Amino acid sequence: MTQTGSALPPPSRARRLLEPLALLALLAGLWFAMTAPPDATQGDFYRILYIHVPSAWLAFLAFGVTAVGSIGYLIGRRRSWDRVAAASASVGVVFTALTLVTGSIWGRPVWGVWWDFGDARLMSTAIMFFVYLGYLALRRTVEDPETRALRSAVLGAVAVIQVPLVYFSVNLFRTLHQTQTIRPDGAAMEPEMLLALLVNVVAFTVLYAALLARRIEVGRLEEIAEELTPAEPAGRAVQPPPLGEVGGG
Amino acid sequence: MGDGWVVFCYTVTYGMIAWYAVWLMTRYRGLRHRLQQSDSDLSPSPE
Repeated sequence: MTQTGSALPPPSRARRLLEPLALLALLAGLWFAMTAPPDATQGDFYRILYIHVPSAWLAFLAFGVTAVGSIGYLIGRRRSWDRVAAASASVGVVFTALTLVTGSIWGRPVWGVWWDFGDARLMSTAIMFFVYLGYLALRRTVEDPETRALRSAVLGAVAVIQVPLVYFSVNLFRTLHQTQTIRPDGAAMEPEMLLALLVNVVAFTVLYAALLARRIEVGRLEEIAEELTPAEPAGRAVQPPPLGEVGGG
Repeated sequence: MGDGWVVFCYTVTYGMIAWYAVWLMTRYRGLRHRLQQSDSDLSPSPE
């Protein structure tokens, strides 16, 4: 059955509160980040950590959710799973880009370089970014919704293997990037700095929830619009002229 | 000394987040409007 715009249920009260809550959480995170004490060796440069680490955490979380959605789709073949997987991958790509950008900006004053092609963490994160960019590109190349959902579910379920590889790359290869800030055996930082980091991690997680919910809604609307609009035949713009017109006849 | 880099980094980060949020909202409203338009096109006229 084709559903149209007016048939969509309005967002719930909790859902409507999510976006203002994310904004407040981000402001709180910013305040904690700016009022935390400076680092003994890096001075104020280290404050980039309060956006770099939460961005990386969100990228991992988002791609984990994509894998759960993908596996859910492969088991149950429900479109809602596919919608969650696609929405989370879209948000994850934005936060992976942010991780790369903030890491690069941090690296310039501290390491003296914007990028190091020999660094395991940098390169594995960049590869992860391009793989999920490929996931989003794949979704745009397949027109049939079922085929699109199936193909991207397979990729989404397999690509998640990169998350532990990226996380443990600093332990597996000792290159330029430092080891994890928060480890199972404790955090390598002062309690005030750790509190500021945790506030930012929570703030970014609330932001992720708000963006994910909105992206899922957009995905739902895109599906309805797709059902209403007949697909254009591919390559229409380059169709040859009718035979009678060839040769000026 | 580190202030400039930190301000630059935070501006880029919050700028990117804001850009993505605005893009999502614009797309959401655009699609919603389009579907409501097609809704009114499909509904029978009073005559």
